[in-house]
Amino acid sequence: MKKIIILILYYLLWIIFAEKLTIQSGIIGILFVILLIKYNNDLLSDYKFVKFGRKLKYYILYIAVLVYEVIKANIQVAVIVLSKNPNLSPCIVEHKTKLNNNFYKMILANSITLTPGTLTISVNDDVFKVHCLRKSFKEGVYNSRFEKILFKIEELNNAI
Amino acid sequence: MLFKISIIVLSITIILCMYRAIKGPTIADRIIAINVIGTKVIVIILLVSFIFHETYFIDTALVYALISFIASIIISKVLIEQ
Amino acid sequence: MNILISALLISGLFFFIVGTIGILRFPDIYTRAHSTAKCDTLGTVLILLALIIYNGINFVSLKILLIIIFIWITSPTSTHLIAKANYIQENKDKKL
Repeated sequence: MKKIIILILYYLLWIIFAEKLTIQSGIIGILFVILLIKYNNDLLSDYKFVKFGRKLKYYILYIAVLVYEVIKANIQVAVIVLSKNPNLSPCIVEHKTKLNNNFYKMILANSITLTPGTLTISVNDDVFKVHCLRKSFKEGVYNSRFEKILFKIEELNNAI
Repeated sequence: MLFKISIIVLSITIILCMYRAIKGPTIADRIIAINVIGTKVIVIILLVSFIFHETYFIDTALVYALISFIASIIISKVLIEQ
Repeated sequence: MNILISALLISGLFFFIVGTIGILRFPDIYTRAHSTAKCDTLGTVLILLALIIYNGINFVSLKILLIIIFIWITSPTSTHLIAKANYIQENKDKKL
């Protein structure tokens, strides 16, 4: 079941790349998609396609929060860059996350980098090292809204 | 017209980034500057494709994005293993 | 429609310029990484959105959308790896 969903997604990607669907491009596409799934399977083993309808709600919420936070972060960086006294006090904070799945940890690390004043430096097991532009940005790391949403998605995954 | 102006502005910012890429005190500074230049070049390729009305430049931009990402990852892996 | 496209283009260019000034002005590598990771993603997305609106809905717009998603994922990842490489090198020097 999981392989069929991935096959359809890859094939849609192929159609976008090919820009049209003729007999020739269709056959070559199916060949490449099957080869990709055969040799690429272990990269996708972390992800589970269960309860997609209920997860979709959280994904849309996540993207909305992410776009809002990214715009806020950019305006903040612009204000800091263009002000005469940047008033920086950089520090490195450690944060322990409750997430287990590697895929969600990756998403969380990238989101922390995109949100105001914080930058993920390294991830060891479940300890994130985060660099803050000012000491006052620490709070955003400890109670981040992203981690709560991802935790709910992971609970849905585990409750099969 | 606006597309041409934005290409000129982006080129000026690329030249300013080159200053950091040439002078930057550490290697990581240089890689960051090169990474930014790569992103700007992708945007410039897309703008040029719309000025010339040639759609195949968009595939070039996709491949350029892939290559610049792989390049910065490989260089930082080499730095880590040194 | 023209006003929307120009507004998106100009705001994208503004964020690119801010990112460049950040690279030139900030004192050390981590703060420079802050300004590039954020301003690059939003600047690219705004300019490419302007191109999508200019072009209308067809396969070319879908490809540009793919480029947006790709840059949204890869730009923070590569910045994070470069910062990590620098962090590991600094700590090596301290131990020696």
